[in-house]
Amino acid sequence: MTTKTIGTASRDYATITLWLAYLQGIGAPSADEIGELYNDSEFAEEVVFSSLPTPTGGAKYILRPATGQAMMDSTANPATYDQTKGVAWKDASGYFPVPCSQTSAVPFLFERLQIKSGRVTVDGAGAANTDVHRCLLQCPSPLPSNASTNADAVFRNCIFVWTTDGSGNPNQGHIASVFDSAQAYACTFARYSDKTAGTGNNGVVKQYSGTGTNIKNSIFANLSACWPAAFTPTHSYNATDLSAFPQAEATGLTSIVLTDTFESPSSSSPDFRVKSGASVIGAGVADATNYPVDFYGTTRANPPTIGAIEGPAGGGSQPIIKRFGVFQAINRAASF
Amino acid sequence: MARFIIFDRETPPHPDPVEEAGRFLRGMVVSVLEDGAHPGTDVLKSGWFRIIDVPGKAIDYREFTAAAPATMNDKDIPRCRQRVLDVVALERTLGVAPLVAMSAVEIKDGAKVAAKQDVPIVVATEEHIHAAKSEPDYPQDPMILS
Repeated sequence: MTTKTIGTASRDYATITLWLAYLQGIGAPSADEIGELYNDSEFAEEVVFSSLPTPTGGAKYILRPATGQAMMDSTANPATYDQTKGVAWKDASGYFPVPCSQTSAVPFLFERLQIKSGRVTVDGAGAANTDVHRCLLQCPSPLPSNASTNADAVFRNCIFVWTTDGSGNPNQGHIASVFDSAQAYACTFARYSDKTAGTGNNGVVKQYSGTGTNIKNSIFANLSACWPAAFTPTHSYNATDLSAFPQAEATGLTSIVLTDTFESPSSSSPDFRVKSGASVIGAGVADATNYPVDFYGTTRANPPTIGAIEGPAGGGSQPIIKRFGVFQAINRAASF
Repeated sequence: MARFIIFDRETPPHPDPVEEAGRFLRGMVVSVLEDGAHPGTDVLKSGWFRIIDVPGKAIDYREFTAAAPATMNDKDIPRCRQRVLDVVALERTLGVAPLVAMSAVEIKDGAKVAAKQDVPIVVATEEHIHAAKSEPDYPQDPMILS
């Protein structure tokens, strides 16, 4: 295992891209290569994780904040990132939404990153590869997909939120299965309660071809569709505020109420923690493929809460550490 | 001044054109930093980055990276970088010796790491950069928004 620090205060590499060049330069590693981000910088880069050599011996590439480095943001205005407070990742140009793309069939773990104004594109070639875990992805509409996966990429315990009104046909946040399985476990897909959806393809899952897309324990909130009716992902234990899922889901929750489910789903005070007593609490199913912790690093109950954030244990209120809202603090150790 | 961090390591061509599009080639500007910015301790020591200070601000050199405008390949993946500098010509005009350990990889504690070599920070003029700058070898595709 090799760990390189990334930041502007005399770390090993000043930018993520320089770390990427290093990874390409060393050739196929035989142990995990870890890039640890420090909040010296906002990392306003478009990073393309392609052409990295495939590690041997089960090793993988990992990008995450260093221990003690929080991913924080302003509760009052989540569209404004405070560089002094955290580790995040945004689109440098502000208009082209590809800050992060992993196109090689190499195993990669993105963990606890905040990706703004863009999308993460993970596109394997059929080999199990990319895991996006406990990340916050914010995307203004109508940019292209917030998150796009092909072939075995998995999103777990992630929050996807659209920050502006939708328009047109933006294909927001589709999870695409082209060659092989793509999965979303225990994620919250949401649009602010005061923002409108576009006119088409506003669902989250778009399964282009192939089979194997699996959606489980996830919330779809304030979207015009969960996924196009013509596509048939495997899905169970999900929750939506729509009247029904496109296909029957005997174990899911429909017609959940935004204001009964989230502390504050509005753009003026965004907070996607689950309210005490919300119907999604304990409505999920334990899954060995999921991580044992939620977005914040809290150990999941059994059965777990549907969505990225575990509900208050025992019906009480959220611990004080979480009362700052989802956009302010993920202040946990780098690993769990 | 702005600070170019240039990839200065030979890499064999990849048979897959899509993979090749994402690779760093020798002479590609990996990052453009602000005046005097610390590029990183590994960058200063490793044998495959060339550090050159150039006139102007970092924002003036956005064309050297893929930041804007992004150009997509046939899989809707942005090209890694748009410009390649002729490092050999640049080193010659600047009077800088080539990095000896350009392609070296060492094994340390069982893991591959960049071979260490002190990398000098040299200063170039706009003329130096212009003379070493290649044009993109592909058309500037319009952005495709799905």
